[in-house]
Amino acid sequence: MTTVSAHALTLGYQRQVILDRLELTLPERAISVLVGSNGCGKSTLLKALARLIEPWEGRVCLDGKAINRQPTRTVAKSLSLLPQQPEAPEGITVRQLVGLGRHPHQNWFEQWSEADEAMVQRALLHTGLNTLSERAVDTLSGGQRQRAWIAMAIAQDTPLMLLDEPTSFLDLTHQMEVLDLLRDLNRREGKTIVMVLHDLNLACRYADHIVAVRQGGVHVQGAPKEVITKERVKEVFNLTCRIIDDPFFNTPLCIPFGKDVPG
Amino acid sequence: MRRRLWLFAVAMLGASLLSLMSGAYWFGPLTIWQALWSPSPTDVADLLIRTTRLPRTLVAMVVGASLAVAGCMIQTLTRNPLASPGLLGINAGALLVIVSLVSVWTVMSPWAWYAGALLGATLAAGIVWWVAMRGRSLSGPLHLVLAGAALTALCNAFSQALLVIDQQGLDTVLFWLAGSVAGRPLATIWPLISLALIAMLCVWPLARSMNVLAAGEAVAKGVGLRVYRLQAMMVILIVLLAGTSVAMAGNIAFVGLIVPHIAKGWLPVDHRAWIPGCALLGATLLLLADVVGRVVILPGEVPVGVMTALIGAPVFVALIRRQGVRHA
Repeated sequence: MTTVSAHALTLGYQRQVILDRLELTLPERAISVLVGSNGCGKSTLLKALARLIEPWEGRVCLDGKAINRQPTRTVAKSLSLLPQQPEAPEGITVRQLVGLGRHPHQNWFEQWSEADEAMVQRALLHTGLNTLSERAVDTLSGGQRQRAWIAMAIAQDTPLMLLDEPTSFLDLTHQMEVLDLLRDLNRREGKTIVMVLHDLNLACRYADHIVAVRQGGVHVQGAPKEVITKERVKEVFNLTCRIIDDPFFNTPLCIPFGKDVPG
Repeated sequence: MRRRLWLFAVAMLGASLLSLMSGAYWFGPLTIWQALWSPSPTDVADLLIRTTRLPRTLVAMVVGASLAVAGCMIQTLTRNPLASPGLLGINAGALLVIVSLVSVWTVMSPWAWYAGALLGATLAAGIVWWVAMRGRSLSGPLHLVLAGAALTALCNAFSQALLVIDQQGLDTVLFWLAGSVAGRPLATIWPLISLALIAMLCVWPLARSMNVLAAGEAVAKGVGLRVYRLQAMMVILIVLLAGTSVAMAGNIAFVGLIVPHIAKGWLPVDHRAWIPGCALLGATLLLLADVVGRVVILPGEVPVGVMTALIGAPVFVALIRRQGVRHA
């Protein structure tokens, strides 16, 4: 199996430190969600975990081995990434886009194998895109487009999936659709999923493990019930709120107060 | 897709035949066939075809194909549909070296000019690449565009200053300023032609990786593509293709910009189709532009660079307007 962890991870942009000696080990076969206020470094952390950014100090490990010491193609067989707001090439079809996920499994001699075809077909079925597979990605709706990108990550066939805000700019229905799909992948195939989410309540609903990032480090982590409390939310987001129990799902439900603080 | 590519190939062959036939004197296909395969040393037609029309046709073919393929690559590299190979400062760098050679050192050997043009193109693109890089990765396509624009302006300023001082130099380099495929004997340009063809062959194996890069750097890195290495190889090949073109034929506008768009309109979204498609279509269009330029003001000639600009500018405007509508 594949575990991802960060050790004394320090990095930033230009001169500014964003992550400062961060330590983190994410649970296997679970859904982990990174939360935190804007600019706290959670997206940067995800990018570092996906080896998109080179750390200044410390390292990211995949199964205990430093990730940037391994060939990037080998890493791509155990870790897939969906960046924030990806842009598909103009006119590319859904099937072609999903096929790009097979890149790490291809080589000079075998450019497109039956296994590749089968994986693409499976990813299309999983995401309910099999009837749209010949459509151009830029003609799809936002929710369908996001599913196409997730299908590409599924076709990559990795035990670990990292997703940077997979639900942003989607309406509530499509947010739920994407999250249900990811939970399905986790429950049925045991995939480890790590994502950045902005919506605390959806994070509580879908996460097994929540990591709250603050000031370049892990402020607190654990099960949603342990992490999402009135005090923690105040510390992490500087937000006054009340936490109640979700009457249907029994997960924490955050009611933000903002200016209007009820008596 | 195969059928379309064959169609392009037939079009190119037709255009090259037309290029051999047309000019101040018209020759029939039979005369051409004879001149190519069983020439007689005393026949004026054979001589004209072999020493003038054939090199000119070859240069137009190779330059058109090279510029179009280089254009296709730079558009993928910068993710900018309006990018062209000149963007890396290649044309301006080549021109500056040629102008310096002519007016400062009064070098008049074509060999030195070709080598100089290639050197200038390489240096310019190298500087642009270095400016746009941060650490071990390209710091975004926009930096490449801006650095290229700055260097182009700088090089052109120097070239113009040198030419204002040295009026005679202007006559010599007018050929490069206007862009022409005429008057290039095969004996002097075969190294450039071979270099361009080798570069074009090296582009082909990268086509599949370019498909991945087109989905964006982060996605490409995520699926295990060595992005920086691919980008560097693409820049080297663009410099080779566009550099040899500018050395052979000078400034030829718009081919590298417009041909990729036309080719993409006909082909599926796949660099494995685009690269051969651009090569064939680029060659065809430059051949046709040259033929038209040859016959339109007989007995004079319009340089092919002027012709492509005349045809290309309206197409370019149409392209921008269509893009504008789509983004609105």
